[in-house]
Amino acid sequence: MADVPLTGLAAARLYDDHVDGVHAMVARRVGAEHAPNVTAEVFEHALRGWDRYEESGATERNFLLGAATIVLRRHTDRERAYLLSIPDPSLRNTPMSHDPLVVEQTPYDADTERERELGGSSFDAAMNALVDLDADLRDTLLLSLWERMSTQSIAEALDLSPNTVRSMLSKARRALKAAR
Amino acid sequence: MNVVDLLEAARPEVAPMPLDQRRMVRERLFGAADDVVRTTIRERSASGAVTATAPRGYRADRVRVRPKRPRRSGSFAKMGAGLLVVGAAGAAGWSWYADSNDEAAVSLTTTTVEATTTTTTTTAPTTTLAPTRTGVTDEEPVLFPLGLIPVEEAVIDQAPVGGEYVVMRAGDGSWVRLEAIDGEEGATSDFDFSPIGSIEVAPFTFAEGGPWIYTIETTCGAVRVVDAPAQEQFRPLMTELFRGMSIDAGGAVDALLPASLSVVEAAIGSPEYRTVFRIEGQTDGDDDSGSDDDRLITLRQVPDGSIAQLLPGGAQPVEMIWLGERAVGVGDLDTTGDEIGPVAVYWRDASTVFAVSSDVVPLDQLESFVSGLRAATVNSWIERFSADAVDSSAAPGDGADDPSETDPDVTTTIAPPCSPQPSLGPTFLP
Repeated sequence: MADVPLTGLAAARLYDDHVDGVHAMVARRVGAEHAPNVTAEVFEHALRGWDRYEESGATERNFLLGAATIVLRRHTDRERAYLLSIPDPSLRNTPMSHDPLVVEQTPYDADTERERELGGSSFDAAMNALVDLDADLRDTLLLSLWERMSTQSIAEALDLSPNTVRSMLSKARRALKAAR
Repeated sequence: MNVVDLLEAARPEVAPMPLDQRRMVRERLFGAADDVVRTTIRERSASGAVTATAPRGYRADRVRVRPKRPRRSGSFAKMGAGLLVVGAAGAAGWSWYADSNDEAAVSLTTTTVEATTTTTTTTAPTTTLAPTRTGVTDEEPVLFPLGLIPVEEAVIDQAPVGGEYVVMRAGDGSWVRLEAIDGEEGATSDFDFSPIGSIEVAPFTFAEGGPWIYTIETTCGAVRVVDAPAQEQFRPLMTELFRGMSIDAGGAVDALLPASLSVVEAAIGSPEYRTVFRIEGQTDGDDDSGSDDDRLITLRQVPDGSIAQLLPGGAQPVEMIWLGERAVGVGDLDTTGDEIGPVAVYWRDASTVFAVSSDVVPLDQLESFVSGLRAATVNSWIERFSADAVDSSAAPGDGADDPSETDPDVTTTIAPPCSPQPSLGPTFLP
């Protein structure tokens, strides 16, 4: 077999294998509107630094999500705006029912009700604390919470040691609780 | 609920990336005609995120119409004069592809025929005849199967906004591709450009031995030159090409071509009619050389199109005989070996250019498959494959909510508001 642009196909295979995962992570951070362009930036960044992947020992997914983390730093304003626009999940399923037989589909949450009366929900406070978090800590935390990555995977993605990742996750949690 | 639990619960659920966006990003990354469609379709089909709705034994799929792009004022008919500069090496190489065995020459685009005729033959353009291997004509420019064959996807794929393409051939036989695609401002801001002559160029490659992809700095969009694989970075031919290049205030990229580099064919992107067929496996009992799931054949057809649009960057096609006429192919063209590898064949009948490709179907079976197709009008093609255009059972996220999926009149532009957009100058695209 000759003359097949194997490298081009390999890169395209990488794209096809991982574009959904990268896009999903990016969309979770900056929203669907900006996700395609940022996703493209992620792959451009990753492909140009592919020699680092060869040395890193990371999986392709982890390497790409690490690249996404780096690229998202260029979009902190968009990320902040999007994160603060995410609706309170406890309100997502509130029934807009016109059926009188449908009652109480959302469990009553006394804490939430009290916080609303005080002018701010615990969710809003949590999101504000998240966006105010140190960027390194926020990235680490969101890779864990939203991308469901293990400590080892985060370490591969961010080129850190697992112990450093654990420490950062712990710091992030403490900072969030303190800010609330 | 503690704050961490709250944040975890806030994890936004996101829909799969829409196919048009997915392709748009791929085009930005790899070029508009990167022949990776088959891989993509298989992946998407496996995930169920796109279509893959055709039950075995039935034709069944939707036609997806991507947003239309504004056509530029240029036309293929204007390409003649500039191509007179086609050099001997390129012309000879292409003429092998272009000329048929008998006295009738293959009808390339009008201008290419003129160029080839001017430089290599005395056949007048007006006397050229198209080969009849597939039977397509200007009135029936596309192919579809006579019988019912499962179809993975049928797509009318509009060319990327502002897509313009050139394939060139060097004296050493290598093929070089240049493309200009509209895009946003700063699309290449992440590159490390270096000045060469009057332009700035940034090289990168996916891996050692792969083709060098040179991005030329532009205000908007992207202009890329893809060299042949296994060449050194900035080989003398590339450096000479870049030194002769210029970009004017309107974004037109032009060049004084090196003597050893010849324009083979150039084109403004045209709509592509792409179908992915699933053919029955020919397994014998325990023969597991390929599952049915893998036996996909992609047929890409561009009426009034150009090989320059279909040929992926970095591809180094070789001349071959295909359905009794001349064509070019890439990949596993050897039908005698046991190993079957990816293969793609590019050819022209009448004014339509074709590319048929498969990862696992050998060349002779591809030839047999194509010979069983029949010529049809574009409308027939659309009607044939849009039988299930209204699919109320379409799953969320597969594009059912996208009006462009079902409304061919949707003209949502993806042209970004940036100026000047890059274009190819008269040396490349008169």
